[in-house]
Amino acid sequence: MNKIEIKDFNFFYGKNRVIRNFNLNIEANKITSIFGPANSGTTTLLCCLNRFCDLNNEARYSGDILIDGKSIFAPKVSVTALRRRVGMVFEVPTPLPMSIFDNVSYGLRLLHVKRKQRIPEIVEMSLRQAALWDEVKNRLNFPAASLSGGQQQRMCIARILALEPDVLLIDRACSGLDPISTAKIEGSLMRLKKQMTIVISPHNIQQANRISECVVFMQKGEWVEKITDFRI
Amino acid sequence: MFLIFALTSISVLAVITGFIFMQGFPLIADVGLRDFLFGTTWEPTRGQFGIGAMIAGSLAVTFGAALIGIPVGICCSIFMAEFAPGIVRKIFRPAIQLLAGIPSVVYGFWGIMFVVPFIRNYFGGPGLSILAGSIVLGIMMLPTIISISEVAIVSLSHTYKEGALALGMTHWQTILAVQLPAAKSGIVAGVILGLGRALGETMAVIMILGNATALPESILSPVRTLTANIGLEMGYATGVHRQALFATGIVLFIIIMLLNIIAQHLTNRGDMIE
Amino acid sequence: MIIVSSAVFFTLSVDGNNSKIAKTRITIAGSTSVQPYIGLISEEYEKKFMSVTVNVQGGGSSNGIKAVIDGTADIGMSSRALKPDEAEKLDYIVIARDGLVLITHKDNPVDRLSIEQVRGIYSGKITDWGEVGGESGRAFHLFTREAGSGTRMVFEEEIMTFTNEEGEEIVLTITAESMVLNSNGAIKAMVSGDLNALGFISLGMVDDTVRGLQLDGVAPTLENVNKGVYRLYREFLLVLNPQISYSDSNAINDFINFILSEDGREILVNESLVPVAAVHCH
Repeated sequence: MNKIEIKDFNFFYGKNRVIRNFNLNIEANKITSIFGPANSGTTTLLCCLNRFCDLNNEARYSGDILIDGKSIFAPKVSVTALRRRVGMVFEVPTPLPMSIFDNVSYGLRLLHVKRKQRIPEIVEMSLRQAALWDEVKNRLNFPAASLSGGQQQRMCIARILALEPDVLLIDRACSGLDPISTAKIEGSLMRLKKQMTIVISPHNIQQANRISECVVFMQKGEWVEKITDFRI
Repeated sequence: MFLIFALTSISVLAVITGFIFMQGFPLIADVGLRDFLFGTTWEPTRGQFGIGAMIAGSLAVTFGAALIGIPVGICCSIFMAEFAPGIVRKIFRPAIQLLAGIPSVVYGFWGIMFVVPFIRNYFGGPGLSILAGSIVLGIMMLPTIISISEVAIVSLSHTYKEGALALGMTHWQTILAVQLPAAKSGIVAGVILGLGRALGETMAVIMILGNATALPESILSPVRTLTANIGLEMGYATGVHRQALFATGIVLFIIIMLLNIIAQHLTNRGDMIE
Repeated sequence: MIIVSSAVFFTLSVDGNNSKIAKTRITIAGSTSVQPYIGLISEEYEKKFMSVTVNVQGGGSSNGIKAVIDGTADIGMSSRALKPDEAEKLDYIVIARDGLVLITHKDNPVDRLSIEQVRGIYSGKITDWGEVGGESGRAFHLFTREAGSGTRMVFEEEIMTFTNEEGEEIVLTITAESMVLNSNGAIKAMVSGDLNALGFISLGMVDDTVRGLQLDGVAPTLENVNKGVYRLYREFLLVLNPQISYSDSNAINDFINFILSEDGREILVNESLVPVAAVHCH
C-alpha cells in the first residue's frame, strides 16, 4: 500500500532545477531511505514532503505529491495541519527556548488538547518512544538547552511523536551523534514503523543497511535506482 | 593602555556625579527629603522647593510615550525582521536611522506646529499637555526601539524558527511564542534605551508641555518635567535656587539608574531561560 | 617708485587707523526682549563701521547682567531694573521704553481688563472668562514667561505687587497652573491660536495675529506709553561695567553713541519703542 506517491515532480529554487522528474512510491509502515551524495537534493525532497520548501520565496514546483491519495499542494490544504501529520526532524537539533516538558508538550498545547491531564501522559509516552524518558524523567523542568546533542535530537523526535504523526521525516538526524545515541534512535525508529511511515536520509550507507527496507539512490536531483529488500 | 582610557571615562562619570551630588545634597538636607520629593509647590522666590509635581510630570509623560512607542516599535521591528520584502527593508532601515538623527528641537517645533493645535481643537485644553508630550516623545523613542529589537530578532538562531514551524506552528505563533521570548533581552535593552531618551529629553518638552508647576489633572493638562525645570531656570538661578536645581538633577539621576537596574534584572532572567 | 611709496604710505595709514580702535568685536548679551532691537541697530552699525563686528546673544536679562559683571560680555541688555547689588557695580543707560501688553486671541470678546482683574486672574482667584465679561464656562489658559525673564519681573512688580488698605505691600504669586514659555514670540504664537488664552508680551511684538487689551481703560499704544498714560511699561537698559575703561575702547563708545543718535532712535521708533536717553554712571 502506498502512503506517499511522488509523481513527475520537479522543484526549482529560482532558475535552479533541484529535483528532476522524480517518481517514487513510498510504502506505508516501512522505513525508506533516500540516499545520495551531498547537494543531490535529498534534503530538498524531504522538505517538499511537508511543504517546508514553501518557506523559500523563490521556490517553484511542477508535478504532484500525494499522501493517502490526496495532493498536498491542493489549494485547500492547511500547511500547518500537514506539518503535524508529516513530522520532520532536522540534521541539527532544534530545541525551543523552554524546558524539556514544555518543548515536548508545545505542539499539544497548540492543538488545545482537551483534558489537560492527558498532556503529562502523552509527554511520557513520547519520550519513551524516543528512548529518552529514563534520562530526563527527573528533570523535565530543566531548560532543553541543558541536554547534550544526542539527547536534544531525541527530544525533538519525542516532540514530533507527541503529535502522533502519520509520517516521520528524518534528515541525517544522527550525524554528529555518538554511537550509543545513534543506536537508541535507530532502535526507536524500528519500533515506530509499525505505527507510521518513516522516510529517512541516512548519513551513511551502513545506517541505511541497518534499518531500512527500501533504499532510493539520488544523484543531481534525479533518482537513479531503487532497491527493495536492501542488504549489502 | 586601554585601562587608561577606561579609567578616564569612568572618572569623568564619577566627577560629574560627584559634582551634582555635592551641589544638590545640602538643599535636600535642608528642605527634608519628603517635602522635597512630595511637596507640590515649586516657588523658588518664596523658598518653596517641592518637586512632586515635576516627578509626576516626568513619569506621566514617559509612561504615555511608552504606551505609544513600545507597541508600535516592537510591531515595526517584527514587520521588518519577518515580513518585509527585501526592497522595503532596504528603504525602511535608513529611513529609521534618519528619524533617529533628527534633533529634538525639530521634533519640538513639529509638535508646536501640528500636535498641539490638533489636541487643542479636537480634545480641548490648551494643547500643551501630557498627551502632546507622549505623542512626540513616543515617536522619538521609535528609532531606538525598532533598530535594536530588529537586530535582536534577526540574529536569533534559525533553529528556533525551524523547530517551531516543523511542529506545525503558524508564522504568527512562531513569532509570538518562540522568537519574541528568545529575543527578549535585546528587545528590553532597546526599550530601556528608548525610555531613557524620553526621560532625559529637555528641549522638545520645554516647547510642548506648557511647563506649568501645578500637579496635572488629566492628560490634557500642561505639565513640567524634571528636565524642563532645570532647563528653564538654571540659566539665571543663584544660591539656594541653584542648589535646588542640582537636587532635581540628583533625582533624575536616581530614576534613570533605577531604570537601568530594572533592565539588567529583566535581561538576566531572560538569559536564564536559555 | 611713486607707486611703491604710495602703496607703502597707503598701507601705513590704514594700519594707523586700525591701531586707534583697540577692539573690533563687541559682545552684547542679555534680555531676549531687547535683543531684536539691538540686533537691528547692530546691523545698521556694522554697515557704517565695517571693521567692527557686533555679536548679539540672548539668554535673559539676569544672564546678561551677570555676564557684564563677570566680564564675559562687553554690554548687557536688560528689560528690568537693576537690583541694588547689581546697580552698585554697573553703569546703565536707559535707551527705550517698552510697553507691556496683555494679549488674547483675536476673536475673544473681551477687549479690556482692569489691573485688579488681571491680578485676580493671574493669582488664580478668577477662574472663568465669564467673570470678566467673556463667555462663561471657559477656563483661562494663562501664559507667563520663565522665572528669570525681565518681562516677567516687570509684570510681577507692576501688577502682582500692590498696597492694600492697611498700607502693606502684598506680592501675589502667579498661579502654578499658568503655563511657562521662554520667549515673547512663543507666547504670541500660542495665544494667537487659543481662544481661551491670556498672556503678556512686549508692545513691540504685538501685531495683528493677537488682540492687545486695554488696561484700566487705556489702550496699549505707542502714544499712550510716550505720554505716560499707559502705565505698564518697562525700560530697556544697556548695562556697562565701569571697571573697563571705555575711553580706550572706541568701538563700544561709538556703538552707544550710535544708539543714542538720531539714526539709532529712528530704528527704535520704527519698531514701536519709545526712545529715551538717560545715562546713569558712577
